[in-house]
Amino acid sequence: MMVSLAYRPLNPNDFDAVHAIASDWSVVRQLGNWPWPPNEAFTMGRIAPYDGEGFVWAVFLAEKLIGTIGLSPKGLGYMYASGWSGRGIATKAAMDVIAFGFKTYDWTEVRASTWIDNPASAAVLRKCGFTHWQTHYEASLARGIPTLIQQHRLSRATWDRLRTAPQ
Amino acid sequence: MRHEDIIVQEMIEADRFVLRPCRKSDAGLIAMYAGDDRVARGTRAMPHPLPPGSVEAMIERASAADRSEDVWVIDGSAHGHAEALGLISLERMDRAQSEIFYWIAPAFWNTGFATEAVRTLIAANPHKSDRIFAEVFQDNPGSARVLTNCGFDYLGDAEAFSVSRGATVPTWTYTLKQGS
Repeated sequence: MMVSLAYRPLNPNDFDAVHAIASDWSVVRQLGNWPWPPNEAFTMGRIAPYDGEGFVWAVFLAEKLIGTIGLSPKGLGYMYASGWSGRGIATKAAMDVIAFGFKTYDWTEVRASTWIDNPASAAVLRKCGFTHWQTHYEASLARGIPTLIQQHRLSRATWDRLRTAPQ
Repeated sequence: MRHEDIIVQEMIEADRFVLRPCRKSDAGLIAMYAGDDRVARGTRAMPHPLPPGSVEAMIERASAADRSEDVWVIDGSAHGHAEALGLISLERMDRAQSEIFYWIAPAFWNTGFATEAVRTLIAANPHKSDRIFAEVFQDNPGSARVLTNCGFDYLGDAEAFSVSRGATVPTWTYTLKQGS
C-alpha cells in the first residue's frame, strides 16, 4: 500500500490544524511532553521554526495537514489526527523522515519512545526496523503520573542493511 | 563586569564522609574500584573491562558547564577512610525531576555508606527536585534496600540495558516525592 504524503517545515499558519490535534485527549495522552488541558501558547511554541540539530515537519495527505513529525538527536516523534489510522501513513512518514535524517546528519542511530499502552506506535517503529532495548518509568506531562515508557533504537547500520537486503 | 555562568556544585557533609565534586586526581582511585565487575554489573552504563580513559572522560563530563548530571565523590579521607568510597550522582530530567545513581566500592560494602550517601544527598536536595527516581537491577536487592531505607517507594518493574552485561535486565523502579 502506497500513500502519497507531502512534508514541509511547520509555520504559524498551521496553528489551527495542529492545535486541533493537540486538543484531542486520545492523541495527547500518547505524546511525550505535551500539556493537558491543551495550551495555546505551548502549541505556538511547538510550531515555531525548529532551531537546533534536526527538524519538525507538517505531514500533508491530499493537501490537508493530518499530523506532524520531527527528528532530532533526542529522538523521533510524531502525532496524527485521529481517524487516519490503518493506512500505513505513520510508517511511511517515519521511514521518509529517518531516510532524510540519516542522509542529512552523521547520526549513528536514532531513538524513539512509546508509552507502554501504545502498541500501535511501537508497531510503526518495529516496521521501520527499530528494536526495543529498555523500558523505564517517566512522568507523563499529560497524564500527570509516572508511566512506563518503552525505548527503541535503530542504528544506521541496521537501516542501511534493511534497505539493501534481498527481498 | 560580567561573570561566566557557572553551575555551583556544593560540597555536602555527612557523618562519615563528605560528598564533593570530582577532581582530575580522583581518576586513579575511581578507575581501580570501577574496574571491578561487581560494580559494573550493577550499573547501566559502566562497561567492563573499563576502557582506558573512560574515568577521565567521566570526570571531564561531570565538570562541564552544560552537564545534565552532577557527580559527587564519596570522600572519607577526613574521617580515616578512603578518599573515594564510591560515587553518587543526580541527573536532571525535565520538570524538577532527577534520577539518582550510586555505587560503593566492593571493599566498603555492607557498612551503610550507600544509605548514608543517599540520605545525605536527598536531604540536601541540590537540584530542588520535586521527585527523584531510582532504578536497580532485580539481582541487586542490597541496592534496593538502600532506597527503601531512605524512604523511596516502589513504583513498578521495568527493564534497562546494562552495557557491562550486554543485555537488557529486569529492574525495580523507585520514586521519592520530596517535601511530602
